Amino acid sequence: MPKVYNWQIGREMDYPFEGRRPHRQAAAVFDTNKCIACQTCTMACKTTWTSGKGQEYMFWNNVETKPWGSYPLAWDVRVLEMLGPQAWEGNVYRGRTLFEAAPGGERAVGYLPEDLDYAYPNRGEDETNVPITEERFYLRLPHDAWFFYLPRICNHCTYPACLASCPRTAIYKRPEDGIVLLDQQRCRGYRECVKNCPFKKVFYNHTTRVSEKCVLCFPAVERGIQPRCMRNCIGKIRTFGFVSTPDRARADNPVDFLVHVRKVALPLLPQLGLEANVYYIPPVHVGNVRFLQMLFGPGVEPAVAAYRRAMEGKDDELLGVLLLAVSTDRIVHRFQVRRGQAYGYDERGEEVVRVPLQEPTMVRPAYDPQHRAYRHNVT
Amino acid sequence: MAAQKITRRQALAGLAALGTAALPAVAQAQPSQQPDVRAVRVPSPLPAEPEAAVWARVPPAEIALIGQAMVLPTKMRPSVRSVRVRSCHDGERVAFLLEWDDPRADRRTVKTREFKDGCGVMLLPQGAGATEWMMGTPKMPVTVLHWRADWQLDLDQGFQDVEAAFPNLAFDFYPPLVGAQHPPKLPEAYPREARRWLPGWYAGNPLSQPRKTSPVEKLVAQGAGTLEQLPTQNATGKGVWKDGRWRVVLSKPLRAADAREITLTPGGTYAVAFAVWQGIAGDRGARKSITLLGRLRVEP
Repeated sequence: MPKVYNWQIGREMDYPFEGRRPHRQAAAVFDTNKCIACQTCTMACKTTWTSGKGQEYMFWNNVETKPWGSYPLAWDVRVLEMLGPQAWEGNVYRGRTLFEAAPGGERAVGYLPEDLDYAYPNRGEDETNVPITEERFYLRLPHDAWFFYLPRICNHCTYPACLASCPRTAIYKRPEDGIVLLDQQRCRGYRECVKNCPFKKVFYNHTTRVSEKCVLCFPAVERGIQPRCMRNCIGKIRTFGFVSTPDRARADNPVDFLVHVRKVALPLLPQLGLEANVYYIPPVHVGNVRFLQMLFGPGVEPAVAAYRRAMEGKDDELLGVLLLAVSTDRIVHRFQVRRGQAYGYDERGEEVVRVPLQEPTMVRPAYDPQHRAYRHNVT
Repeated sequence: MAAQKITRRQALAGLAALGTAALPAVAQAQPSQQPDVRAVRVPSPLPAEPEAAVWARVPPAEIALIGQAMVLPTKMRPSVRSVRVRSCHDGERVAFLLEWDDPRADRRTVKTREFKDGCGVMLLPQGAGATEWMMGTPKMPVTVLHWRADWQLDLDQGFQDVEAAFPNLAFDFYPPLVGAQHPPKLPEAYPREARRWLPGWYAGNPLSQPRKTSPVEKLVAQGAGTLEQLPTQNATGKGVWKDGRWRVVLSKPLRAADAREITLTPGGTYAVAFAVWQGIAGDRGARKSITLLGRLRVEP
């Protein structure tokens, strides 16, 4: 099997195909600290792509509550259990990836979900890690009792397990932007991709009897516009753009800045070996760091520290990038923070958005003599 | 060494088969390792049904099935011990009757974990060897006839849609079919423009077409993973499951209608292999029980 380099696990690994990176890789950063699980992203995607017959159960985008939520049921713990022990030595993963742990005759470790596994997309919603029954849980940071929201889409992996598993190469990774697509003409419905995608983001269409997956709204991306789930994000948690490998990281590229420069954004389950391209800013309030390390790898503690610094007003640049998220429909290729404003530029270098780091505020006296009335703060 | 492996596998399959009581007399005989099938000339028309009387006059060949160990994903042990094959032709078309034991008929492919039963006939020119056996090569394409239990069910009972597998399904409406009869039926309720919401169908994927004309696909392959439907779909057939056994007829014109398709000439000898998929075992694609490559003699 060919060897490829996966920077997220700091080493070479086995992959069924030769490693050839796309010219650029579409990527996103989701700030879990800002997600309120309103599911607007879920519905934006659902109404755009999966409202047809046979797609009823599909959520190419879903938001689940961690630690208990999952869609399909227990997708993460099942895959992690199949993978076995996952040891890190610093930033180098010493355990086996999905491909390295593949049983004989298979391309990767995986399982095919049952219908009922898809039946409870919001299972575990807002459930804390432990029952809140005692007073000791109040007023302490990070929290002993916690939960957080994990919005999920296809990770458009650099080394996709779905692509590796398709015996017909009906799944391909576009060289121009790294988006992973499933050819609706070539698929013969074997569901090897459904079985081996650990994130369970390939779905079998009950009516057309072939499989489908997130397309990252490629028609929009091709025109410099962000995908629907990103554009519609109410909490403005999503930064969309293109990620470089660490050696080519550009400090003025928003995604590179978050992933490689400040290192606040971490890959999801890097130990699987897919080099997933949706990155997460870990929640800062979660008391169980080991749980976060299981989900996001060894970079959790420095990421939390860097994020807290920005929230304390000590890192205008990081604050500026985060404020640019979902402030424009356009894809921001370059950013700059100067004189209290964050600027976003498109691919041609034209300014597409400008956001103040601090909202202008006006303080008015409580009593208005002109109207002879007291003002109340009404929202 | 390869022969030894097969023998061991056979022994395992044999052990598994001990539990199956009352096997027909011929099936109890040791199946041959390699197909040697004679396509007997019969008067027109060819038998279209597996129960047709003419099949009794055609000599059967019981052929051992083995696992598929060459292409990922593999299937190391066959789901079925052997397949019984008969063949005949009338100078225009050739037909095969495949029979094998399967305690459960798996016909539907609507749910994520539902896989169909099926069988296949792979035809190659004489002289094909071990490399061509694995779904052909760019220089020597293979013609494949593939009978699918799910298409047979669509033909027998109408298109099996979501509500066939999920009878309590509730859905407000499917765009753009506001006000359409609920649930909307395929294909009637779907004018061309509405098929955009059924991507496989809209893209022209043969597997996604709700209207079936035959349960048998005619395909061509030039290596593992290259299987595709031929433009002229003129293969026919019928599969019937009864008393724990599938009996399936597959037929195609002797003469090729498409480029890369094989033409069979009366008096000629060809290479042939057979395959069986068992849905309950999760068989699909390369996860199949296969025969070795053998001989097909088409009677003058």
